[in-house]
Amino acid sequence: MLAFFVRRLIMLLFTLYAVVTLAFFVMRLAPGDPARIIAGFDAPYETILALRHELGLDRPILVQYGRYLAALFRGDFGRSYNTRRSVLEELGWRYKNTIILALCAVSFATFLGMTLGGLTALRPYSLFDSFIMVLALLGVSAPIFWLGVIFMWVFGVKLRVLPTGGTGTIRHIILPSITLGLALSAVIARMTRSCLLECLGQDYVRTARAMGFAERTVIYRYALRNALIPVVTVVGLQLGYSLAGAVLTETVFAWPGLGRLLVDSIFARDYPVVQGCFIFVAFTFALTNFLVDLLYSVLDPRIRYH
Amino acid sequence: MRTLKTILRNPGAALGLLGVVAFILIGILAPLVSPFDPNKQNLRAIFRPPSKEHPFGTDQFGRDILSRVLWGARTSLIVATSAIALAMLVGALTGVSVGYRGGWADEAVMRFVDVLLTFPDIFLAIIVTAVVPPGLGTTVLAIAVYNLPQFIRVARAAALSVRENAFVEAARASGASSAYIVLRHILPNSLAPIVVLATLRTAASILTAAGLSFLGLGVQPPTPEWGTMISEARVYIVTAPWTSLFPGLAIFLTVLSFNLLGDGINDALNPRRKAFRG
Repeated sequence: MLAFFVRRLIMLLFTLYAVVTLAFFVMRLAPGDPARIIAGFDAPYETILALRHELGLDRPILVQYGRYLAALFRGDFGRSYNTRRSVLEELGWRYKNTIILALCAVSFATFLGMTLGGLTALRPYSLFDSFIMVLALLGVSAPIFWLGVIFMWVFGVKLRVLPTGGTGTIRHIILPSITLGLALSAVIARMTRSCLLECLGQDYVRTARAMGFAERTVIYRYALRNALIPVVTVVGLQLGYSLAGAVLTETVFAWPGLGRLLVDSIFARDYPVVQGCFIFVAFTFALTNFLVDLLYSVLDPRIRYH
Repeated sequence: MRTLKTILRNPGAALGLLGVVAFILIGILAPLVSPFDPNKQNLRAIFRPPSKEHPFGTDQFGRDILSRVLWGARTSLIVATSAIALAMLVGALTGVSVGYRGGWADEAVMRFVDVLLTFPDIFLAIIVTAVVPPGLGTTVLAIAVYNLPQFIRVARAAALSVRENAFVEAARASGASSAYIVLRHILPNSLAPIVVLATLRTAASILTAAGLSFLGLGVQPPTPEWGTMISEARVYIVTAPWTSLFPGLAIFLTVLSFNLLGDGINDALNPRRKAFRG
């Protein structure tokens, strides 16, 4: 177990290093001279030269790369070209907002998805089952940014029950997390249904029934527990995908998060911030996957990692 | 042919196929079926609600939304098919080659794929748009990169099983070069799962391309594109909700059709494992 943990940790660190490297070199491929972008296109040549020196852009690329890595180790992601504030300062509170949104959406999705998925598995091929599964298919097919706009119209404009954008109160997070969570809940419902159905067909469930256990006990103690293992993995993965969906949801609801910052920084060609965003996203996704792997072995003692 | 029959016996899949065919036909025939020029502005007829003349209404420039939605199908069709073709070409050749050769190249490519996969979903496409200025070509490239890891993985896995066949060993024994074996024997025999993947990835690609455009990083206005249309229209949601409603419905129905068809194909090919996407 410990050996597995250490090996996964090393792999995680390697992945993060590769992500940082990729982010650094990809951004260097981008057209346009950052010094010229900051100074403005009509700036005198001397100003641009001075700025290039200040930003360290006049050094060989490998030197720049080394300095970037060394700075990252100190927690220094560089400075934003636009606001001149440190990237960490720009990212920090927005990252928190995105994580709050993602967690709310995934909690909502898990609750809804597992409930509906579980209920359908207990009445497979019934009218209720077909109805929910059609809904789930609709859920994965609807573009979330469109769903967000429609929800905003219905609940914010027509019914006037919820704010259409911004942050601050708990009411502000309801629409964005439902928008983001619906697609995720569809995936979780389909997964829960098929896993539970598979478990209900297993020999040990038949044995438990034959031993005369109450149906409740059979489902909760025998089937559901085993069915949950793959579902937990999916929920964990959804956390990563919710980051991706958050980019779109944040734009719709003017939610000041990482995704919105990333898109705005791309428009502004603010490369240090763009790099920072990519590193934060990749880090979060890799870390969640790592934790899901660990959780997997805790949930299923049969899994022994070597 | 048998497979197609099995697929069509499933009513959902048949409906999906119908939707997909309609989408492709509309995409090809957009110039013939649109009642108006999609970019023709009419400032005296802005924000007209749906009517007999404009069934989907008009937008902030008085452009006919129905025509823009129909032309949007063409944009989506172009982006999705070229991006998947590109990802398929690059991914299949890379995956099949490293799968056949193995060794350090295989290791290196698969680690690179792992790194790409640490960028969840649309982020992989966004990376491309961070570097290359936005436009139709960039969107195709971004969606191709977004699909690339999946194609490399599937092609590699297929090649790993194909290379164990006796005819590969026979080819090697008769002195065929590696390149010849890969192109002549491994690739053709690995094609089935790659083609299935291509159909399955279309829905996600259309959705992601529309998302990119919605963010402003994809296809640029005034090209009629569903994501861009929603992005421009959403600020008018209070006064002119139809401007957002119809392009979104178009994405929704198209993606739904591809998903229905994809589920049907999955069920037909793996009858023991009922379809679900994880």
